[in-house]
Amino acid sequence: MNKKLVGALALVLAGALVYYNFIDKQTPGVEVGDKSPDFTVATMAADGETFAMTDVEYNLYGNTGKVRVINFWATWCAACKHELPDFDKFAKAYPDVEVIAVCGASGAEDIVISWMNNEKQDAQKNGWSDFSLIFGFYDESKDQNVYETMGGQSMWPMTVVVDENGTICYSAEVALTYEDLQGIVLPLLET
Amino acid sequence: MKKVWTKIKNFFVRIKPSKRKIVQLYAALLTNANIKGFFNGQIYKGATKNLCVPGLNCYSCPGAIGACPLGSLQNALMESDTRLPAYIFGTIILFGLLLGRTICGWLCPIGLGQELLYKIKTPKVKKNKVTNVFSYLKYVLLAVLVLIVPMIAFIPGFCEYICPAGTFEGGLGLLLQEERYATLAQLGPLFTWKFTVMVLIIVGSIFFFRFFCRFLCPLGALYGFFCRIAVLGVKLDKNKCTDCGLCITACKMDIKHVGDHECIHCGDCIKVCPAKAISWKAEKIFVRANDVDAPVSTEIKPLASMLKGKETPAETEGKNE
Repeated sequence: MNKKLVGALALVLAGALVYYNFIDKQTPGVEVGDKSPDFTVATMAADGETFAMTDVEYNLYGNTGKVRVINFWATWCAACKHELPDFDKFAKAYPDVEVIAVCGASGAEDIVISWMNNEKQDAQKNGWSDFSLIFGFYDESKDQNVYETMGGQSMWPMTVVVDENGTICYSAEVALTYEDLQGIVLPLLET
Repeated sequence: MKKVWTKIKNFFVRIKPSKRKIVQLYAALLTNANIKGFFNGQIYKGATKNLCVPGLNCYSCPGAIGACPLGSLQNALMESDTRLPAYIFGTIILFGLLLGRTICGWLCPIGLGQELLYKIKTPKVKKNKVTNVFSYLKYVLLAVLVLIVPMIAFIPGFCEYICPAGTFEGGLGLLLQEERYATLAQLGPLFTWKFTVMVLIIVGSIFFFRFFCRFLCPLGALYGFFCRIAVLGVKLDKNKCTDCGLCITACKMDIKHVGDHECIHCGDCIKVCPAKAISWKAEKIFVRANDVDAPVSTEIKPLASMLKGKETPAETEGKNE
């Protein structure tokens, strides 16, 4: 019985190695050069001094003809929160570009809204411009996982740039600065 | 090719890995079967990631095929509001009841890593009264960083500030990919802190046996609560025990008794007990049909014996005694 057990266990391990490495390939789904999938997210905005969920939804293909920068962030991700003011500055400087920061939360929006309100109070200190960004939100436990739909796999933050035709021109799971954004997006505006 | 195979075989014959070491290697490999993740720099996100592995293994390890029980617990508590997260508590209780800290001794990849580090030939720090006191630190970390902080601050306290598995498997595993070298410049003070903690734990593990397990691991602390009731593990026959204390001396963990909450059920004490009082629990759980050691009921006569007027084996034994 011992030999049979060892044999069975060895088979399980071999099976797992074959499955995870050769069968379940887990390719990203969307890559640079593909047509971007569509998505819809709820949005939040600052009505005066405080943030709240709005009735308006954001749809990626709702407003074609513009270059769209989609940033994915989360409240538990320090690098994500650190780069948001740069996206805000970019959104203000280039109103022709649609910039949306989509927050994926594993629950309701309360924590996100309270963080946004804190940021609004310390806006100057944290480098925020006008909160010109569109602030999108989805609940991972209920809604479509937009981060994964747009090709996200492992790391946050992720930024995807979609051109006027809906083609993905840039996609990376890295933090970006204002200058990085200029380098990526401005060439698209010239064409 | 044959020469390489013979060299590998001779290597294993020379180092003579114990049964336990082989099981540990097997568990570490099975837990991280998604080897392609280390090459393509992506973590596995398929169905099995919804299941917890029994030992400590970061969800963000590119090789991980399952979720970390500690990470899952912290995340569940972050989202839980007022309800107890039943799935993760149930999973941990199931692991605790079946295996208890045999998980630490046999199935945890981080435990294996520390034991391999300990093999590096340096002078070692033996356990003493101070290490005994420090072994309670992990309960503090469990209470504060794993249970309380996620519930009030909505962050996975242990994952974020301490866990070396996260830094090594998740952090380094994902960052040391060519397409992410630019990201290395963005690493901030939190990474510096966690990297320092990881280095200290690695160095500690070279000089102290299972430095992380004994002093810092909240998962070991959690499983330790099941020490007396777990199905598998070592047990002491108090009738045979002469209180010589050789088991406690031989044990490298901070135990006060064999099989207590510090015991990782490695079985090293079994060999040193002169009275052979220590054995594995549930040795008799698997019984073959003709096994003479099979527990025989003395209460109810087997039907066959009643019909033929024969004695049951228990009755024969009773007469012979």
